[in-house]
Amino acid sequence: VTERTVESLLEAAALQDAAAFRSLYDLAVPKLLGIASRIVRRRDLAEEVIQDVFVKIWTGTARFDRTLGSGLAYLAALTRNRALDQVRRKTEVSAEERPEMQDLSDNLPTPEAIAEDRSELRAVLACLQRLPAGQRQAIAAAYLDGATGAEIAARLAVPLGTVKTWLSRGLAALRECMGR
Amino acid sequence: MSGDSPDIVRDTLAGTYVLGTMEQDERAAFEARLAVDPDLRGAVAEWQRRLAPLSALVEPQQPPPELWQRIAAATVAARPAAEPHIADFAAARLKAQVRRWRLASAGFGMALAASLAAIALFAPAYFEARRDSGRYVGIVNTGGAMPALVVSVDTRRGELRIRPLGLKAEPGRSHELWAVRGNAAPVSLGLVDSAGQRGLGALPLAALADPQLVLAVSLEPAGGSPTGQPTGPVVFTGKLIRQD
Repeated sequence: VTERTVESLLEAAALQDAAAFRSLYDLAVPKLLGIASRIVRRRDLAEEVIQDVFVKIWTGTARFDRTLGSGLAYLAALTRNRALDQVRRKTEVSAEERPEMQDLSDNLPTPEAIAEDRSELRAVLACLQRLPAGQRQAIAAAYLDGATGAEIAARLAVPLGTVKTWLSRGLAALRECMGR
Repeated sequence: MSGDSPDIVRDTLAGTYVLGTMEQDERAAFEARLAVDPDLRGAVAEWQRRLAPLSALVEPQQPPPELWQRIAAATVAARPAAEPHIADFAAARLKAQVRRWRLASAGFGMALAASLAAIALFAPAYFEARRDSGRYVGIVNTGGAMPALVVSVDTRRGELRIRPLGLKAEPGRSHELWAVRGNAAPVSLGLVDSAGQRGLGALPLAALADPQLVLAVSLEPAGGSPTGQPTGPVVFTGKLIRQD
């Protein structure tokens, strides 16, 4: 399999093309495992997430739709969703098992620190940079670390209601800034 | 645009869902809505697209080899040597795939689509080895737990092997297997009421790799179609998939 796009691999895998499925795995798993690990904070749980995601792709339970975005965005979304389900279900253990939650993502790089050819990442970072710090930190912690509203509130020492407001305002501003 | 228009509220809700910061019950309610609201799904996809670049900030991790093995085991569930497991596996996937496959085979003709008893799409997924084998397998399904028929093709030998499983013999009639590609005339692959091995007939080897290739079984007069083309109703269809 040479130079196939993630999109075409996803479509072929859903039609039980085993070679495409394997290529997709090789291509995407290191990144997806990183995403899942950061959210569930346990290697074994992160691997479970990846397994669930790939079984869904193969069985067609999760269906990729080209018109809704890129293959990688789709895979990242599937992985995050599954990882979030995973940690939310295990809330009773996660508090102890997520000591790193103390260190929520509040030091995003500046867009200037990112290579110029990564224009999409630069664009999001530029828009995030324009948000008040609390909104930016809340969004980054939720997206990258899978933090709940309560975890963000504890970390930033503000009431949960405030975090919710920050998230809503931050999202609205982000959408405005990114122009659709 | 006013600050709290329904559009903004809805969009913010979609964003909150993507971030994962909804309460559990709120999240469940949102997902229920998502299932029936394509616009909302669109709003969610937009947020996924907007935020996805941030994932580039996450450090990739190399998976252990066992992870692939577990996935391969979970997706294979059974090897073609064990038909009952194949049947379970196929049945589990059937419902999800029937609709998609119907769409994919729309070019096949309305009359045929209307007469389809069931459709199955299946590959027994050998992940490791067997790369050079050039073997294909198709399962022609009845829609029940048991496939009607398993068809395997060995391209190196130019050989077709038929294993009827859930196929019920009809007195005075024969089941005939056809390979159909697009709008071209179906090519007969012979009768399938009993197990057996045979050549590929008029079907070119290259046709096997055609993703549009569909297998269909029609009910014909005893001994097969008198015209060389299907004359009776198509009772099963399926798809041939390469074994890698």
